[in-house]
Amino acid sequence: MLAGHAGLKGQTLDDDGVKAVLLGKRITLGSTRVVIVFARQGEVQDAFLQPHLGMTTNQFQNHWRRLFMTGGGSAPRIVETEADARKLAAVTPGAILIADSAHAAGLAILAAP
Amino acid sequence: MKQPLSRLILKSRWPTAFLCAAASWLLQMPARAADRSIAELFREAAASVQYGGFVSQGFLVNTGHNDYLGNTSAGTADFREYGLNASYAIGQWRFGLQVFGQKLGEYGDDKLGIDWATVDYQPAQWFGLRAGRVKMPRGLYNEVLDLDSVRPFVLLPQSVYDARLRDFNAAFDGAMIFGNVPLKQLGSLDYRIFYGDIPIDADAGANDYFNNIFPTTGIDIEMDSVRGGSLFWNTPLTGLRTGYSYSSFQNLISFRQATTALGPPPAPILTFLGTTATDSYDRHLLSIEYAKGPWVFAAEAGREQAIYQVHISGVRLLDFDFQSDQFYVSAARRITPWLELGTYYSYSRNEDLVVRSTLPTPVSFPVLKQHDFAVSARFDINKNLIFKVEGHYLNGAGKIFDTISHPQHFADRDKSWFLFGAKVTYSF
Repeated sequence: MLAGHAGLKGQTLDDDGVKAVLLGKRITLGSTRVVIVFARQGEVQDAFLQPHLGMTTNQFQNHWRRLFMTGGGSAPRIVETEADARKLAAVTPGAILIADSAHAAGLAILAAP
Repeated sequence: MKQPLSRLILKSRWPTAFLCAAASWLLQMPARAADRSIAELFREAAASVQYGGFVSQGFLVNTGHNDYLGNTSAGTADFREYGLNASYAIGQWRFGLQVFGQKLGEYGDDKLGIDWATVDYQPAQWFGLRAGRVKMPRGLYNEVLDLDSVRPFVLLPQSVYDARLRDFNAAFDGAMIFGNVPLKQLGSLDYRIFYGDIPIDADAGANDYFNNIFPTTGIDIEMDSVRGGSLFWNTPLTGLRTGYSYSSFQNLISFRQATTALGPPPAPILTFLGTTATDSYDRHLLSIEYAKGPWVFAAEAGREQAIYQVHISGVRLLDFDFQSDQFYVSAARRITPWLELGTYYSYSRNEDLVVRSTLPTPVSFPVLKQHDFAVSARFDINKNLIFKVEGHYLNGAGKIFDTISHPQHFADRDKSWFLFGAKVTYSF
């Protein structure tokens, strides 16, 4: 599922919204700028990206690299593991991340799996 | 587009746009600072600045005596790019800049300049405004010409993405509106509309390209404006997108100089000044890309058109109708986390048809064709370092430049030849 910093509580996203936010086409939720937090590798991310975006983790990172390196968007915050991503998202206003429901305590739920 | 910093600051409009946006953002600071000190805000801002960069070094060599992308017949390492960027985003605003340098044969010359420098304001998903030096939206890959890390190929298909025309293709000074319009079950549309201009150095590859059939010394090349846009449909089939890009260069003119001796020395030498000019140079490009699992398939087909007038010493010598047709189809597959393979077929055809002439004898120009079959392998050595190798078989030599400093007359070129490339890139 897509989760976020507790300050995003109350925001919900449908499938199109998830796609728009993860691909950088929508940059705010409410009045808060979105900060994507992404683990360099992660099974939960892989399982979420393919059905929602049709991308592998590698393709997703390439998509963002294209945007960031050409002035088209702000890069996701990349951490090593999904656990690191959860820790960072918990303390970063506007942060969103892909997480499993068993490890989303304290985070806002933006979109169900 | 790359310009020396001093020239950019003096001549471009982007600093004005950048400063206006920065001032607008600063005017909002008192409200934000109500509960935090200025120092705290600046510390927070400095920590939020993102940095990125890359440096690449390549090698190119081909069989036979054609010199294609530099001195490739002998083998050349004059093939590198490097860039460093920084950006900062807050709310609906984003500020960013990239410094870039390159060398590709005799072009680029390792001069550092501003590659892009933009201010973004995006109040809604369907509407945003970007101003400054902006990457030109054209086709699937024009904005990522230098990003080796996002593809397996050493060289993008040269029929559509000619590396020697980077100064002409990469970016413009001006403004662009953009957005993504959701279409519910029909997917979504990405649109971009832009207006600006492109300052081009006289020693840029674009100057040689536009005078390939009249190899004379380039003095200057300029245009009144560039305008255009792109419309891409992200179809309901996940991974499939297709679109159309258009750009038009208004009053594109290159100033040339030619000399001829009236006899053996010490006979005087005559110098002629001339221009090659067109009211409108128009470019169209259709694109389609499909990403499915580890596969990425792409195809693009384009046409460029212009009616040129050639003047020498004020006399209208001839008019010719230029048309360039381009096409490629490519496939790439990620095999393992450290290996990606790719291949493409690329074709270009340029024709210059004389439609009016005041010359005493008829003039005609050869049709310039080139087929390019490429196979590539990319090795991800670690998360920052990649190495690529690539082989090409080329049939035809229509994309070779014939210039004053390096004559390569069409009839003298190898028509069937192989090109080998390798490149290592470090990015962060």
